[in-house]
Amino acid sequence: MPEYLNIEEQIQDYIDGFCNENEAAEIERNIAVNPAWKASFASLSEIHQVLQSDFEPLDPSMRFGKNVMDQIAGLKIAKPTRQYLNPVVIWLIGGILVTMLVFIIGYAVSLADWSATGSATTLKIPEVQMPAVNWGSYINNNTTMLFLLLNTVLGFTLFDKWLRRKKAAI
Amino acid sequence: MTSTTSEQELIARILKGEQQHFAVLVERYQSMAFTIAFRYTRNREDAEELAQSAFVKAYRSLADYRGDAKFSTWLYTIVSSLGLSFVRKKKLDTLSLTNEKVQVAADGMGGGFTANTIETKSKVQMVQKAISMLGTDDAQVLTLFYQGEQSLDEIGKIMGIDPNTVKVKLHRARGRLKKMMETNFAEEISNLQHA
Repeated sequence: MPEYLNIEEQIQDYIDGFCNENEAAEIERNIAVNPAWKASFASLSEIHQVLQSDFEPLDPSMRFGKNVMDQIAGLKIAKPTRQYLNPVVIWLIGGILVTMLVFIIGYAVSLADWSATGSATTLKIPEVQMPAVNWGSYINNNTTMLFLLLNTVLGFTLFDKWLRRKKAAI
Repeated sequence: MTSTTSEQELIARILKGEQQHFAVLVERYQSMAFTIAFRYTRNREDAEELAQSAFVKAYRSLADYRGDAKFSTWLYTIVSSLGLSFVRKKKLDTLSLTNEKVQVAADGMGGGFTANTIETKSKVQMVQKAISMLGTDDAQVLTLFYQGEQSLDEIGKIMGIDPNTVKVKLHRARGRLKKMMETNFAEEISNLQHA
């Protein structure tokens, strides 16, 4: 039985049947020998018994069932939600988002200043000679257009795939 | 048709277009759906309307019921969701009721008498009244556990909370109910004990 549970919670678990055999045996032993446990058990089992034997659900009016059936008489069961959540569309949106994310991160990395700063006591990071590539120079109208073109092609490809699959299903 | 399998068969037939079988499900769960709805609305008219809407919504969305949970759990989730919307719409107080509100809640139970002149005819009515005086969450968790035959996990799904939280809520709700009964129905309890 977990240590953090107080007496009442342990007894309540026992009454509700949430204990394993060992825990139940330990609680039964405590109830038998300890007056505090015994009193707590009596109090908790009383309300539990009341709820089990004297707690009944409320009844709606006699016309309830008929009213429901009248209301659904002209209705049709809707198509399952999974049918109009097309996975291809999700993949398409996901693909575009990932491409955009890669593009943005790449651009942000290209703008970062990698030279070390701070006092002499700071931990020295081993310098790695990166190839002298000016990534910023690649970001221009042409690359932006190329990026958009790639995304459009990707979009059309997936859309085409989806249409073919739909046609095959019909 | 009492087993889960037969309920699945029933649902399969409804999905095939045999709408009349839905009446069996309505008949089976109307009391619990109505009781859960009542926990939110605290009056019979609104509770009845809310429970009916839940059944209509359940019928419309029946194709979405995957069968991995009990139908009752799925239905009660719909009722609870509509109940919460109702409470938000009406801006009702979902927290524990104050003593003043307790009187109103007891009056709303119907039965032809007011809270001041409660003449509890039976222990069942007394328990029902005491539960209606609890806060929505307390009443809901007790209703689902003792009446709805729902496990802690299922109650968690219905109420959108963790099963461990359900356990704590259940424990506290019983404590509050006991206190409520001792405070407000001491005389009735005494009479019943002497009867």
